Amino acid sequence: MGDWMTVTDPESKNISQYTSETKMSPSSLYLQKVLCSSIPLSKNVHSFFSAFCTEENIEQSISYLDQELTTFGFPSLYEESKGKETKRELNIVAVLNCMNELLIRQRKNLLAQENVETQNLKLGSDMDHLQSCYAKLKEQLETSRREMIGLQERDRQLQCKNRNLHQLLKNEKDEVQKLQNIIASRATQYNHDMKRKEREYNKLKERLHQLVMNKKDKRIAMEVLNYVGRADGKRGSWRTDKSEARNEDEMYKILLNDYEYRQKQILMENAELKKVLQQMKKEMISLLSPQKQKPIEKADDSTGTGISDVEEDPGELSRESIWDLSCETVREQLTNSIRKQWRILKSHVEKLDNQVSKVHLEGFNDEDVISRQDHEEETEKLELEIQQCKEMIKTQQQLLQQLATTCDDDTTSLLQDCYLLEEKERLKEEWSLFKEQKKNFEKERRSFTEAAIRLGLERKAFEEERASWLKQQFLNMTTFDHQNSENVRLFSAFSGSSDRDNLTVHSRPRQKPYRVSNGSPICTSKLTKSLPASPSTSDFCQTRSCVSEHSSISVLNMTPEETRPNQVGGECANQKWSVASRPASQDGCCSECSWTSTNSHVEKDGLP
Amino acid sequence: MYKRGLVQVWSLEQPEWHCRIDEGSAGLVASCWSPDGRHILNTTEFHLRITVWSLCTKSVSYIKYPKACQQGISFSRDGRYLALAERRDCKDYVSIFVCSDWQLLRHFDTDTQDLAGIEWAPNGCVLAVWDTCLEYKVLLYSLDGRQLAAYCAYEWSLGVKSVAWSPSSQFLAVGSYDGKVRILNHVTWKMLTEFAHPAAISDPRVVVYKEAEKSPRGALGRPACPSFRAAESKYEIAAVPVSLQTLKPAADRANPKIGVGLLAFSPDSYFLATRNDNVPNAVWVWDMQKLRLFVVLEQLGPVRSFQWDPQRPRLAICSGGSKVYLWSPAGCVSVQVPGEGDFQVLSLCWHVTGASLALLSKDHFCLCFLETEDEADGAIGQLGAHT
Repeated sequence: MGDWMTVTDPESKNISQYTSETKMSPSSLYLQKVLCSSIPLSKNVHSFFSAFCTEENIEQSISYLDQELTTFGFPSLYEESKGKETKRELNIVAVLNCMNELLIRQRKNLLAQENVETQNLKLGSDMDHLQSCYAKLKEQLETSRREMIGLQERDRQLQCKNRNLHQLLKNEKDEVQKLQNIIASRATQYNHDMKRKEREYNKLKERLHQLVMNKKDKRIAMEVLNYVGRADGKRGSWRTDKSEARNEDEMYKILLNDYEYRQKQILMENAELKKVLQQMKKEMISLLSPQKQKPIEKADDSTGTGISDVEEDPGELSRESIWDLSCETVREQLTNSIRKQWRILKSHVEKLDNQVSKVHLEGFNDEDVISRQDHEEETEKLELEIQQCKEMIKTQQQLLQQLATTCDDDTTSLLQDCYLLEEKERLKEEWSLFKEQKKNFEKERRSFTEAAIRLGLERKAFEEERASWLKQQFLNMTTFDHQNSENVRLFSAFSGSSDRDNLTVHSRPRQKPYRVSNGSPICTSKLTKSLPASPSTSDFCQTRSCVSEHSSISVLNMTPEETRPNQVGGECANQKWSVASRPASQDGCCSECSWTSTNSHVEKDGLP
Repeated sequence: MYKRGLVQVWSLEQPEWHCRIDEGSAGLVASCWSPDGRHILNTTEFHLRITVWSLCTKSVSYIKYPKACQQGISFSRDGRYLALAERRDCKDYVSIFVCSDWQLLRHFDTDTQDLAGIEWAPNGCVLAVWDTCLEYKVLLYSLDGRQLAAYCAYEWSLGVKSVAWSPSSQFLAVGSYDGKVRILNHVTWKMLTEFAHPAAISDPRVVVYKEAEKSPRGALGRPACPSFRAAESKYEIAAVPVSLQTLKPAADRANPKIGVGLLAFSPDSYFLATRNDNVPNAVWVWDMQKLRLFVVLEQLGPVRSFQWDPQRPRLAICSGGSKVYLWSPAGCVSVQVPGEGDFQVLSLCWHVTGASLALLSKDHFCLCFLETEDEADGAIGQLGAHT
């Protein structure tokens, strides 16, 4: 539609509002225009209508309208005129028709306008929606672009790092390679040097060897008292080719024996392992075969294969003898069948596990029933036992009461403490024995003391005799010094005996204590005859804690003596005691005594 | 008597029998018996040659070019064969001799840089050969000279320090400078397992025995025994986790004190005793049936040597003090060597029957008799001018 332009009447300025432009202008403008156009229409209807056609210009307006209508295709408003110059009459029918036509058209136009307006609205809202979507998508695109850039940046950084690390690794590897090369080159260098030096060294060695061999050194010799027989008792034999061959034969025999032995071991091991595998297979089959009777869910595959294996079994059993051979196919068969069985067993066990877990979840009813039964049985048994015990206790109580009540006064007095009677009698016997022994001991003690007193008296007398004898000797000797003569005499007398003792004691160094103690009583008896023991020695020996000394100590204690002998003699006695006792005490406590070191000198001379 | 180049031999059964061998200007560096007890092998100075003196025939044989290394001579257990390491023209060779008539049986070269040691397997059929410590290489040769296998655990680091065969010839234990022992099996000659020796033990199944002094205290709280008598000691069981004393070795010196330096199998092959040189006070005993650590014994002083009883699984250890320590699966005990003064046990040696033990100090030795009531008796003797 083109632009409608109405002829502007100078009076009708409102007509300009009707200029409708059908351009693609924004809907609001259009609406506005339409609204503007519709509103003034209702208000200015009358004014508008009266503005166009007044009383004066009726003819003009009719002709104008007729012109307009005819241009629009409507029939003319005038009647058909007969002549040219006569006035045309208004055709009212035509006018009414035209008006009706115009009204219909107006209505259509209005409808169309409404439709267009609604469509316009719809399109407008769609457009809004699309625009908002577009804006959102644009935002999203922006953000995703930004993210992508960020990720790219990160990726780039990581790649950089990666490259750096690779580079470092390469550098390290290169360094390692370089060092290895250096080492290798140095090694070759050193080897070369070493070889050179070795060759020099060998040359020198050769020369030296020649010199050594050439020198007819009479000293290189072997002196042997007599020839020693060969270890195996045979005579030596000459070296010949035959002996060489024999040696080779022996060597090969040894090697072959070793290989055969090892092969036997390995075969035995193999046979055992095969047996074990076969047993395992049989057991597995037997484990799996009863399962085919029970209905197991989802076990069709396994039972199928299980059955097939069971069918295989009798066939395989007949071929067992073939398995003793160890060719490839048989070996593989065995291992494959074992693997199959094992897989089946594994799947079966897993299924059982699942079942068990399901049962656990459902409840413990079955278990309870079983355990309760056992529990009841147990309690019955225990109750029976308790009853039996109670009966036994009752009977015993009755018996005891009978025993207690059925006796008379006489019997009660007799039976008082009847249980302990035997023991009392025994005690009495022992007491009497003990008293007798005591009496005997007393008697012995008295006799011993008397003997000791006698002995003391005798000793005194003897001492006096000896003293007088010594005095005589003294007076006889004029050239010797007094002390020296005594010392020498005494020492020689004692050392003689001590040496003998030392020899007898030390020739058997690892004797048991009782032997040594045998020596020491002999020693003591000799000494007691020659010299009474001094209190210092007895004190000393008592302080020693050696157990093996007991016999010697007890012998000493039997002769308590107050008289002090010659000081030198006493010291000698000290030394003797230590010497006699030393080998008996085999721990290091003898080191506590300072003067044993002097004795060691004496000892060593005595050793063979 | 190495300085004078003299070897003197006496007979234990006939005191009048006596033999003297004089090497004269050739000098003497080492001397050893042959297994039949009738020949003496003397190594002359500079390892020029080995002279084999026969006591039966007074004859002499010479072996040239022996190698001067840690363990260059090895006799097989049954005494039939002698393996000798040689070096000619900067290459290592091994010669196998038959001991009965000293004939050369086999002579083959080995693929080593610088052979450090050889050892026969107890079954006499396999010879283990190992290279210098600069390279980890263990080679196994059969009796007839074929190479059976070669084993190398790692490169570029110090290698093998010590090697031991198990008495059943089933295992070969290789101790190396990285503080681990690798066990090779005799069927495939591949590593079965490796035993590490860390200084901290955390496995609760391991029993750790620590030696502790138990000096008797006097009334004043000071030890009552005088200073020249060594204190008694006993073993206490320490609760796991335990950390042992370590020694930091000097890294720039030769022969550093790291690595497994001593290895010994028990006679029934059930146990392996090892010593890691950086933890010098401890002896580690491994259970070979379960292939794991069984017992650790920590002494107060550094362990000098240990040896298994040839008849039963009983280990005797000495650490330079005056005590000898015995361990068996039933327990362990520390025994004071009786004697005057200080007897420093430097090494020990069991008798073949396992009933007695010789403890050697610098110039004395002590014979220890083990009675069935587990009492140890001692007798002190003077060593001769040898050793």
